[in-house]
Amino acid sequence: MLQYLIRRGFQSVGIVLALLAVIFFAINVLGDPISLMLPGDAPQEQVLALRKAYGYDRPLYVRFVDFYSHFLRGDFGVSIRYQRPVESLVLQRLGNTAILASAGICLSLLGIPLGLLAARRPGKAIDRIVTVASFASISTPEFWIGLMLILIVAVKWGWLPTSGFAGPTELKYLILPAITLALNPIGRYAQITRAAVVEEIGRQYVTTAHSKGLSERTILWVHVMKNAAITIVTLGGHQLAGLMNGSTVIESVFGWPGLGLLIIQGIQARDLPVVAASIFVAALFVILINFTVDFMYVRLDPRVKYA
Amino acid sequence: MARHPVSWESTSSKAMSDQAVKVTKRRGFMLPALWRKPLVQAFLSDWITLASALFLAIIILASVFAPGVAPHNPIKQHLDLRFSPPFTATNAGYFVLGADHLGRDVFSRIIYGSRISLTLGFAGALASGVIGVFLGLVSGYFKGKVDDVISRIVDLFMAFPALLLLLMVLYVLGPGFRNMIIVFAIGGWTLYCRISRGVTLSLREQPFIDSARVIGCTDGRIIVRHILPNVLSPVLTIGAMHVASVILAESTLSFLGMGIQPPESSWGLMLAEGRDYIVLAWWTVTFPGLAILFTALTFNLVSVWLRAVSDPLQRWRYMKLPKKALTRGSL
Repeated sequence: MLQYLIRRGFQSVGIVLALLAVIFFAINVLGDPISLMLPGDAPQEQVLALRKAYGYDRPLYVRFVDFYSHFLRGDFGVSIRYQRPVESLVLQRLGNTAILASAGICLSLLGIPLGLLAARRPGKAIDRIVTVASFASISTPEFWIGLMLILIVAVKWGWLPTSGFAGPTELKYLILPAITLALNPIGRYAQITRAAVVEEIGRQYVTTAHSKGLSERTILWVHVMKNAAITIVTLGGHQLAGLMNGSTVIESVFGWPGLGLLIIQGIQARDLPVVAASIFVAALFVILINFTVDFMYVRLDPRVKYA
Repeated sequence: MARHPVSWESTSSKAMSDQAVKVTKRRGFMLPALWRKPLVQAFLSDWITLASALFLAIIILASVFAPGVAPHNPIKQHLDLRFSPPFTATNAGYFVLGADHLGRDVFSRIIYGSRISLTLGFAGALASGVIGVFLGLVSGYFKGKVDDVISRIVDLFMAFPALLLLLMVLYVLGPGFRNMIIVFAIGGWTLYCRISRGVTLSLREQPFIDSARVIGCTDGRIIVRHILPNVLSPVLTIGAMHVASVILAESTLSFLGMGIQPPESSWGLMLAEGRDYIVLAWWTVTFPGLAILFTALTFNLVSVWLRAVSDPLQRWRYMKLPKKALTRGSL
């Protein structure tokens, strides 16, 4: 158990290091960092000055070591647009994203009872409705749902603000983005739960439980769910990582000042340090979630021994 | 074999199966062998899949024959007709789904936009499929060091959040059609690689591979002639689903301004353009979104059906479990 955790921890560290390499490679080898910061028609002397100021005139391997040592120490440089250290900017935005993501996670858990409902009567009307609805929810572009919600709930009915952010305590700004973020995972959770429960219901211990005369509720909640939970947590947990993808675009639809909006605005403003740092931190977040999920998997399934 | 309708279609009402029988009878004399195939019967009696396939056929035909189908020129501006609501008859023609902020016909733009969205969907899936299947075959067949390296790379790619990776690469390479295909290939190949590696690993221990080796087939020939055909079925299933996710990713990236650039047009770009006028003209964002939704949905549904009928294990699960273990018991 502990051994597995240590190995998995080392693996995560390796992933983080590789992630940094990918970011460095993308910026410095695939593209030219200076052209990512300046518009295409910038004069030559400005390009040279900037190249020198940011140290891009040094050899690649020096920059590589420099990049690693700075990023691993949490020093992401200074934002070109905001003229302040990137790490404080990113940390502040990360908090906002975390608020949105937690609200989204809570709402998306609704998919589990939906999946259960479908799995109890496979092939019946309720199952077909849930199945098609869940496919519809994963086939919908998230930002489009957001736009539709803005159009109907905010503009037509005027119940909630269209977009914006007024501190973490103003819940009315949170409702629409959170619903938008959750819709896609609700569908996935419903599918995962349905598949896991249908599979468990077919097993022999369920027949045994039936013949013992246990009530349907006991069988479903005590016997079936306990086993199905393993699948749901593993598959569902990795879906959480997808929330990070969703929040990037949803934040820019609703003007929610999180990490995703920072990335998009950074790209538009050619603010390279901000883009690199926020993509790194967002990916770090995902790696952390995956690690936690794997850890829970080991805890949940006593049959699995990771030596 | 799947003589009965499959999966959630297994309970399709009597009327449905009657209909299937009718179709079989009517067309029976034309292609007797084909229509009696259990697969085709399962397909015809399953109205959700049938409707999805029909919808896809219509969309693909419409995008191929866009100049003939679209009522208007998609880039012709009618500035006097800006924001005409749907079902407006004007002297410039009939605007079924309204006009956008430059007075361009939304319906025609959706039809033309489908060309880019669908082409990207297929091209992205194809590119990642080719790379993924190739690496999966190599890594599953040769095992050892090659397999270790490829598997590690797959794990690494799987650990990254996909959209962020795509954004990063597009940011560096710049937006546009060609770069998007590159990006989708980078983002999607791991899925194909895992599947084809798994299938190859189990196949290479089978007697027919040994026989092929004994009669002197080269490794390349064994992979291409004996293993690849067996890998294709699961890969096609994944492919249908992947087309849907590439179409969704395209719309997201174009919406963020990182994808298709004007004057080209895709469904995602239409949404990005309509976004600013959402209060004035709801139709400019509603209809392209619906186009994306239905296209992605039908690809997904077709993929589910393919998976259910092509995999004997799944087919058993889909057909038998609901019938025997579940509907009879109280659960």
